[in-house]
Amino acid sequence: MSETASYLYAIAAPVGDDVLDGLRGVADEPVRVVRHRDLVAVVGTVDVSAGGAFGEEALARNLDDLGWLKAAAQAHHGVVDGVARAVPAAPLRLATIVADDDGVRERLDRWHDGFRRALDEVAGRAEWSVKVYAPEVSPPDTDAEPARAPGTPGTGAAYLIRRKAAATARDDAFARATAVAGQVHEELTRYAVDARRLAVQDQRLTGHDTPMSLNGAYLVPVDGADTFAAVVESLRERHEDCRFQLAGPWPAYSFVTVEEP
Amino acid sequence: MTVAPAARPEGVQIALVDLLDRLLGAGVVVSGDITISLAGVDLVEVRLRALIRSIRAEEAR
Repeated sequence: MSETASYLYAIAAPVGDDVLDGLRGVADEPVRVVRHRDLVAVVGTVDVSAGGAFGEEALARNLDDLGWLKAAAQAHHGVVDGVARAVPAAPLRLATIVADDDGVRERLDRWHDGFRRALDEVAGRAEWSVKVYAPEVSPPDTDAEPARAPGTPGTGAAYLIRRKAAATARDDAFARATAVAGQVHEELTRYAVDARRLAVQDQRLTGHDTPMSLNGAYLVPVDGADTFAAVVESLRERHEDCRFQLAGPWPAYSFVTVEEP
Repeated sequence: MTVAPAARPEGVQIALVDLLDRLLGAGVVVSGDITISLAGVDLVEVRLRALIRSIRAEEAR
């Protein structure tokens, strides 16, 4: 026997079936809305029985499965993004699951005013990401030191000096990138309705050669996107030794927070 | 049996690292009946980071 529950993607302004019809959720299920007053919750029905992918134990296990997590995150984003392109939408975190639609309505009622404010905040706006990475440090010039035969006194010392010089150069590059990050964030904040500095991502996760110094999120009006991109471009030119990354527009993931009443 | 969610055919690409940053750490919090409170649970985050590292390794191949 299968037991089902309602998986929540977003709280939104009422949205048409034409938008929902093209969307598939984390279990490849069709998505629908649960309406309460002037808000809807965009939900899908998922299997939470012991053998289902979203049962409590199975879910914990699945979240540890790279392929599953990746597909689920992308499917979740697909629904949120599809809805957010059509109507103001407040994204929910991955794997927010409520027993049934009555539970969904109960939450819509309890948090109505907070959701309403959140939707007003994101209406007509989208999130952009701007990242700054430290400059590349050129490898120490190995020709600077005359070649010596291995084992000759002095080789080890020269190696250590070169290593120390390289480490100092990396520190200087990161200090420079940190200063640039502050300036860039300050400048971009003037072109955004809201701005946040997220924790910089670990270099092992970004796959970049140099560390990240800015992981900025910016809430930008839809009609201000071109200007915002142009400002990023001018900052890139001004700080051409650092590497810049602009991405978006995305649903306003970083700008919707609803306090528990 | 786990059915892998279908890949999204269109839309703006978002790197998995960026997506997880946001889906796990931000967004509205509505407590669900099933307690998978990912955010703020360090252990989960650590596991995710290990996972993401393996994604990177996979993509690099």
